[in-house]
Amino acid sequence: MDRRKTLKLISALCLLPGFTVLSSCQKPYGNPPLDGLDSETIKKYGQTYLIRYPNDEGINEIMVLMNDKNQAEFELIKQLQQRVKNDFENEEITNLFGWNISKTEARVFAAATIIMSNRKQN
Amino acid sequence: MIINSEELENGSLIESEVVIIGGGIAGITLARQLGQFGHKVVILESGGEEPDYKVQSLYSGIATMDAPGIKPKNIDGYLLSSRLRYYGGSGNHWDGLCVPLDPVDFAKRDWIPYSGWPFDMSYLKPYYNSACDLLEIPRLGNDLKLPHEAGEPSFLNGKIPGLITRPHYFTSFSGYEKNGKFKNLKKQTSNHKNIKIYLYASVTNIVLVIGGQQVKELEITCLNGHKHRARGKVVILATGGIENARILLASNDFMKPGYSMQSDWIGRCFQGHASISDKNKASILYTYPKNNKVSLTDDENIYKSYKIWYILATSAEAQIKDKASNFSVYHANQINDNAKNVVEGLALKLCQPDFKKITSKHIQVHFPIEHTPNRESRITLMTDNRDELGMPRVKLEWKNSELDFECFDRSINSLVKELGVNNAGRVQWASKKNTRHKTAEYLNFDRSHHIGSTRMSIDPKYGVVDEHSRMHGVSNLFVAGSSVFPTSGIANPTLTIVALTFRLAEHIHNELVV
Repeated sequence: MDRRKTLKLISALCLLPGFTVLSSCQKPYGNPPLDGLDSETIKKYGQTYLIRYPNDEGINEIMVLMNDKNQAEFELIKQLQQRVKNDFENEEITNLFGWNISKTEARVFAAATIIMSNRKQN
Repeated sequence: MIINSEELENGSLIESEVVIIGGGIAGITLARQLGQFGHKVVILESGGEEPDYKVQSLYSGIATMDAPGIKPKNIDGYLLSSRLRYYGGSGNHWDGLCVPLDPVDFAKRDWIPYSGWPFDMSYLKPYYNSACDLLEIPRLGNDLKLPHEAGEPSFLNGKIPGLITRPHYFTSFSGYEKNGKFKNLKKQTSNHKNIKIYLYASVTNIVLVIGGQQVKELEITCLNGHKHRARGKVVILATGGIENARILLASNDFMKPGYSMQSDWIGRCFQGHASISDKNKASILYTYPKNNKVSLTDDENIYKSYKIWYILATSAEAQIKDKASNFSVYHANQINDNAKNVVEGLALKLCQPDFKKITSKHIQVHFPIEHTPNRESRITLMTDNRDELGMPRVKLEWKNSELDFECFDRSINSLVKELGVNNAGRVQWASKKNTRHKTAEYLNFDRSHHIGSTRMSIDPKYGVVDEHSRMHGVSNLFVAGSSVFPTSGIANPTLTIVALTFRLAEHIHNELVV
């Protein structure tokens, strides 16, 4: 299954009332850059973005970055930081639950949502 | 000296070199200055020394607040609650916040119709400084701004190019302060050897000489039925941003063909200060260094130590670049999120790799916006609805235009971008579904500022008073107060009102001496 189809499937799953895989994640998310943050809320933001932009190719790039085991946390944060800055400069901004955040931040939530989902499915 | 007009013999004639209509902060500072120059001054004050319901109710009328896409809101109560009609005027409930307008407020901005003052801010600086001295706050610096006495708040990257932090000083001349200096100022004025204050003296008509080039006399009506007249070489109308227009509109001579100013500006371009706010949708998440000496979010401590508020606002450069109007951010309550805010958590981590040196604060905010001049935002009179003195009551139609919301959108975009690029925070406002018309639903009047209804313009085709605040076409009639401001900015107007009265006093003194 290609990335686009995966995203679409996850988006669709998110909309189902009986979709229990994600809703069962209630522990704090355990990976940088979302270390210690509430996974339920991450999911809420991530799902919303995935539904709104199911074909956003930027999510995959962020997933690759976040899944790169060889990269130090410091490097990941630095890369994301630069992307966020570029986004704000180029007005690549999205609104999630009233928050005007960079697309990179929204993609981090979306990528984390997919990663959590994949972990549960595996 | 204080005189009760109701106790004068009916039909009395009051004469003085200078007659000031209205004993509010503009009238008092003018009288004080002119009295110190040696001129004999009379103040005609509609109220007494204390609040009086009968007098205050002379203010009642009809008022609506309107914007594109919403139904007009009834704000009748605003006419009564936003001003006070007794000696000291609205200064009696002034919270004492002092801040000058910005230099950009004086400029002609091509994207804002009728913008531009007849002079720039640097010309007004000496008068601002006199006002600062009177109100015992620091003077303006070379940058035409009040100094950051508590130190300038900084962000992670130091200063942010598109944003400024504007200091607002609280003066102890606030009418709110118990036994504050405003009471002393009123007392000093009434005790001045050159100043007489007539209480309960409501001016109900300004009578012009035939041809309309001069004021002949003022008709005064008291609530006990007595009628008097007043005459002066110079007459100054200083009754506040709504009543100034009301008295002119109610004075038939200004409406006659003989009167030389034929333009239709009296009462138009009323500008009130409003904010866009929503308790649940308007907030800012600030991120800043833990070791900041002065933080923008430290409102309470800065106020306690220095009696200053720092307000975040868009810079003049950003306003010009974005073709926006003046805009700022007022802090309300700090929000303590029950659940960890993920936007906050992520933003903190992405501030810099060593995020442990960074902290954050989530604050509910509202956004004061500039009310741009709009001819349809106006004060008219209801000839079929008159007050106890027979004066037509006011109909205020406060109208914000599409432009105000376009400018707001641009300013919010700029705020989001500047805070984001500089790792200084994130803004929560609205959602993609919110149209501009929906934004208008969140417009609230929260400040008692009445601006623009007798606007200043060199050309009589575009205003009521000239650059000296003299009524176009009437050589001895001047107008004082915020009603002469051509544009309103977002600053609390009192400091500028006082600055302009210093300038007006100097001008009138020079004319009288010659």
